Order: sequence, then structure tokens, then C-alpha cells
Amino acid sequence: MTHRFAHGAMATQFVFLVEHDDARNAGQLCREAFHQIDRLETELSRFDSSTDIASISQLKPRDLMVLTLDAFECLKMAQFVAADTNGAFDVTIGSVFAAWRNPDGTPRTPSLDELAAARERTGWQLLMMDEESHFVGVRKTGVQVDLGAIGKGYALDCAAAIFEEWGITRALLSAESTVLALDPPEGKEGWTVNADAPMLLCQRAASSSGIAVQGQHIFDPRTGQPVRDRTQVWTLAPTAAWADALSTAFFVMSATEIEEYCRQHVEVSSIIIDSQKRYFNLKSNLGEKT
Amino acid sequence: MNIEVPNGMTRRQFITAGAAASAWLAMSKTGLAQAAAAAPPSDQVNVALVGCGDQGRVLVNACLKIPCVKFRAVCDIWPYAQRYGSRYLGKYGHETNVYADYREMLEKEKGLDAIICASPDWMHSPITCAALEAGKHVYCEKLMSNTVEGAKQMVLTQRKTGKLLQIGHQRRSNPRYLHAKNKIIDEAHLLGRITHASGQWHNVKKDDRTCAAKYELDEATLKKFGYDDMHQLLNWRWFKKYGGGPICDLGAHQIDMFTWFLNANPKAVIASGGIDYYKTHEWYDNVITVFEYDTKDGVARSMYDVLTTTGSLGFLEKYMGIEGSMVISEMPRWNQVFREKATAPEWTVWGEKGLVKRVEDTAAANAEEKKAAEVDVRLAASPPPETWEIPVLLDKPPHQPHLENFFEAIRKGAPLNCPAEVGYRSAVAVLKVNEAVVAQKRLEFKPEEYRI
Repeated sequence: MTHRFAHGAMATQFVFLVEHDDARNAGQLCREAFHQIDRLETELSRFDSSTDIASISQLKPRDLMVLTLDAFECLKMAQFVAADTNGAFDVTIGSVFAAWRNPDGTPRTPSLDELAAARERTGWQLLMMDEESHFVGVRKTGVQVDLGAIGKGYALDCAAAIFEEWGITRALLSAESTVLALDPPEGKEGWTVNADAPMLLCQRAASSSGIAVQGQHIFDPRTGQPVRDRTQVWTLAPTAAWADALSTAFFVMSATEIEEYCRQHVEVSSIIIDSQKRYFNLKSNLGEKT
Repeated sequence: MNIEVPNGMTRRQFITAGAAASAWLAMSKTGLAQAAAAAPPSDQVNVALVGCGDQGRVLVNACLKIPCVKFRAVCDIWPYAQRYGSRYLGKYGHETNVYADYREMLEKEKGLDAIICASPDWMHSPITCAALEAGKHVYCEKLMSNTVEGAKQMVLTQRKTGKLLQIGHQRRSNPRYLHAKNKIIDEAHLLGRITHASGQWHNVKKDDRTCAAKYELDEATLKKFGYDDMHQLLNWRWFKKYGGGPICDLGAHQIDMFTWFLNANPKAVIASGGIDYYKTHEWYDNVITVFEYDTKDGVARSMYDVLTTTGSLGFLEKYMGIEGSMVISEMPRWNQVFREKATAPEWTVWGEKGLVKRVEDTAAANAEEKKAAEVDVRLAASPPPETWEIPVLLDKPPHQPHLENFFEAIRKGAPLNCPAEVGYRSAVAVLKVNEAVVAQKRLEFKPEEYRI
């Protein structure tokens, strides 16, 4: 029997589908996972000045700050994807986000000077990390980190670890645009996700980025400009954090760049949906409709 | 038609992707290893954590930011929590021995300087007293004890041993609270005579905690450590034997702040509460209470409520005086100081001195304009208050300054911000609330109740 459990956190709705005989036990597991997600929401938040992530913006060059394990692991994964995509994904984009928003959150267009100032403080190479000590440092003062494009994926991976710990693994974990399939329902090969273009997932994550969901909200860290071309990108990867981050990176990368990335990473693939609702599965063959 | 999902490594094979990221980081030129290795050493304080549940982990994260702290041992009756704590600390280079029994730990760990106690409340007193007797300094979570007798023993043992005992009312070390108390209230008297305080802690409905079946403790072990079953161990805050309920878990923080800011212990209390929502708990899931105080300026009253079925507005405190009022919280977003235009002198000079910071309130400005145009009698009778802010922000984990104060006291003799006597007076005030719920009448505190 498949049970459904939902929980609001990280400005999104987490929905877990669990196939398990004992509904009560499945519910207890989900509540424990949600409890940890609530903790992560606090720990990874940039809004509360007392969190590690918010405090990075106060660091000066030569300052060293110890991060909590989850803040460190999530930031490390973000930096890995940033390096790996030549900065197409970049969590130091907080200053650019801020420049395109009024204090009340409504959109605005920054002046060239404002944007230049924001871009001065943007760039994944401005952050330095050390795994041994869990220190983070900055090359410039005022680097604003925003984990919004990876945090939900990271939280799903943490939830998956709890599912493994409890030995209940036939489950589909989702946080709006990112889903993580664990083991499939009995007798099936995978969990079917995405009604528009169904795909079967097993021990794999998928994440979509696009302007269809939240309105225009993705900026290219390489230019500081909003991205206007595509409507949607689906990214498949072994972990939810990776898929989550890559879906944002792929949204700003060219099809050729994405294809090259997928070629170099056998475990990653991508599906692009253009403005005419055509699907391009970059792993099967670039440009071929499926 | 299904979209073809290509093969490749699955999640299990690639379990967190952290391995790839670690390998990348180790190779990366953006590493900090050199700077980290060159970080100056400091005189170490050897510490053991007793109680590695949610709160213990919060304290560990704060301690890891304090360079002098070196964890040597982790103690918890539950192997799952022990393992979590020692593994977590291991990743930060703290090699720890693990114990189930704090007495065994105190006997075997000879090099310890201090204990951090984050056990269930009923064990605060025995653990703290044993540690003090063994010559260790103690940082003990609030509420000091779930009984007045337990708290009293802690004060007496601290006096006898001369060791340091800090109680975890961490707002007493929070720079924003210190500024509000020392500068805004005491130095500048910006609120005038404070006649009222109010406060709340509202938590959204939460389900009971559980754990995976394979990690449950066996009955004999649970009994040995005083617990009936796993449900009680994981949800101890709700049971009378182990804790004092939400008024002690949450209310204690803010009732302690009332005492500090009003500079007076409560002289009487009335309270109402009950188990109105949850079916599996012994303690009241909501309590509403009123305290009376004799302050140096006259009588003051506070109203306080702790609710566990709604998260409405979270947690905050408010102090109201003749000349102004102030909203403050550990949550950064609650931060306002209002000047009563009708009764208070201008605050410009205090703004210039940096005691308060003016907030440009467009809504209030609009209201002013409207008033001028329409001559609204009610508005004219009660002008909208000016809004200012407390200009101090906490940019550390909330418990870090209080722990820093404790370690400064150990290393350099700094005075503790919440020594045993202060924690004791808070415990006396808070524990009386549960009594008042039962009594269904106004209960008075005798002055000697606060003295030991």
C-alpha cells in the first residue's frame, strides 16, 4: 500500500510517497524525516542573521568560520557543481538576486552600477573551504550565499538517509520541482514522475527548473542577467542535491554545454523543453524528439 | 510514452555525491588548509557533553565555533545518540570516548575541565552535582531542575565546591538583549517606568518523536536509567517525572527575561492551562499566566502564554512603559522600540549616540499626512508612535555567546552571566506556574523562597 505524507518547509511542500505494510510506522518515519528537514531549514537559511549561511556575508578576507556539518556539506556540493559547470551554478549569487529585487521582494531592474557592484561580490571562487577543519573563508567582504537552488535537494538526500536507516526504502520523496526516487513499488521498475513527459525513476533524482513554475526567477551568474530563452529543463542525477543544482545550471547553459557536461558525467542526463513544448533528451541524442 | 531514462550510477552507488565533492575540494586551489593549519592555538578546555539529543547537538554546533573547546567524551544513555555525537565530533577532529553512565564517565575521564549538561531536566541536578563534586565546571541547560529541591542542591553544591555553574538562559549573553537591558532601559530609561511586560512562545502542532525499531533500547536498559519506555525517553518533555512541560521548556527563557528586565522577582502568579489537545501527554499543552512584581518604580505585571498547537507569531517579548515600549526576541525579526510622542522627550540624541536606530515607517508617515488632511479626532488623540530599532544584531548561533561567557569565566575569571543563584530564582518563579494551574488561584511568593 502506498501512503502519502506532506509537510511544508523551505518555502515549499515536501510530499513523500511510501509503500509499506505498516502505515503507522511509515508515518513515524516521515515525521522524523520532516523533523530533520525543519532543522535543515533553520540551519541553511540566509534570512536569520544567526545562521552560518547568513554570517558568511559578514566575513572579511582572512576571517575563518566553522560551519555546521550540514551547512558545510551542502555548500561543498554547491561549490563542486559550480566548479564543474564553470560557474553556471553559483550560490554566491545572493547580491545579484538582491539587486533585482526591492526590499519588499517585488521585481526591479538595477542600474548598471548597482549590477556591477553586485557582480563584484559574486563568484564561487570568492569562497574557500577546508574539509579537515570545516572552515569557510572569503576572498572579498560581503559575499551573500543563497542555497535556495540546492537546499531542497540536499534535504531530500538527508531524508533518504533516514529512510535507509529505518529500512523502509520503497519511496518517492519530492519537494516541488525536485524528486528523489528510492526503491520502486513492488513489482515495478520505478516510480513514474512528471505527468507531461512521464519517466520511470529508481534510485535516481530528477529536478526541473523553469519559468513555468515560479515566474522568471533564474539569473545567469555569469552575466547577472535573468534567463529568458527556455521554458523548462529536467535534470537527472544520482542524488537530489546534484540534480537540484544542475537543473539551475542547465537552465542557463547552452544545449552544447549541457550535452558536453552529460557526456563527461555518465550518471547525469537532461531533458530540455523548448517554448514550442518540444522535448530534447540530451542523453539519447541532442535534438531528437522523444 | 515514457521518456527513456539512461543508465549510469544510481543513488546508492553514489551515496551522497559528497565523495566526489570532497575529492574535488581536496584538489581545489580554493582550499583553506594552510590558513586553517595556521590558526593560532589557544589554551584548551577539555569538555564532555552529557545528553546528545536535539539540544545537545545545538550546543555542540555552537561550541565548535569556540576555538578553546576540546571535546573529550560524549555521554548518553542511548547508544544511537552516543554514536551520533561522537561521529559528528570526530569529523571536526575531536576524538571522544563514549559513555552511557555519567558516573562512570566522571570516574574514568580524569582530564576533564568542564561538563555540558543537556540531559532531560530531571537529571540536571544529579549530573551537575556529581560533576561539581568531581571538580568540573558545569554549563547546565535550563530549566535548572524540574524541582525546587533539585535546583537548591545545585546551588549548594556549587557553593561547596567553588566550581563554576552556568545555567543555560542564553539570552542573558545575547548582545541584543544586553544592549536592550543595559543601554536602552538602564542607562537611557527610554521606556520610562515599565508597568507591563508580555511575552509568548507559540509552537506549531508537533507529533511525538519516534525512532527506527532497531535503535530502540531494550526494556531492562530503559528501566535501569529510570524510563518506562522508549516513547517516554524520546518525548520526556511531556512527562511529569522527567520535565516541567512547555512552561519550563519554553516559558522559562522569557519569564527569566521579565525578571532581568524588570529587576524584580515575581511576588505572585495566577495561571490557567490544560491538556486540551494532545492525547499522549501528561503536561499541559497550553498555559496562560500573569505575574505581579514590585519593581523599584512600583507595581508591574506580566502576561505570558505558551501554546503548542499554533505557531502564530513565534516567540517574542514586549516591555511597555510610560514613555515607550520595546519588542525583542531571539528571532531577529522582532525588533522594535516605540517612543510615546505624548509623554516622552525626543530620542534624537539617543539615535545619535547609537542606542536606538530610527526606522522610516512609510505607513506611519502616510497616517500623519492623512491626519493633517482630515483632522481625524481619534488619530489626533493618540498620535502614532515613532518606530525605532535596537541597533544590535546577533550574528552567531544563539547559544554561542553564553557558552563563550562560560569558557571565558573558566580561562580568565570573567563573571558568569547566569550563575547558579540567578538560575535558581528563575526556576522558583517558573515552577510555581504549574502549581498555580493546579491551585486555580493566585499564589504568592515569599521573599525567602528566592533565597538559599
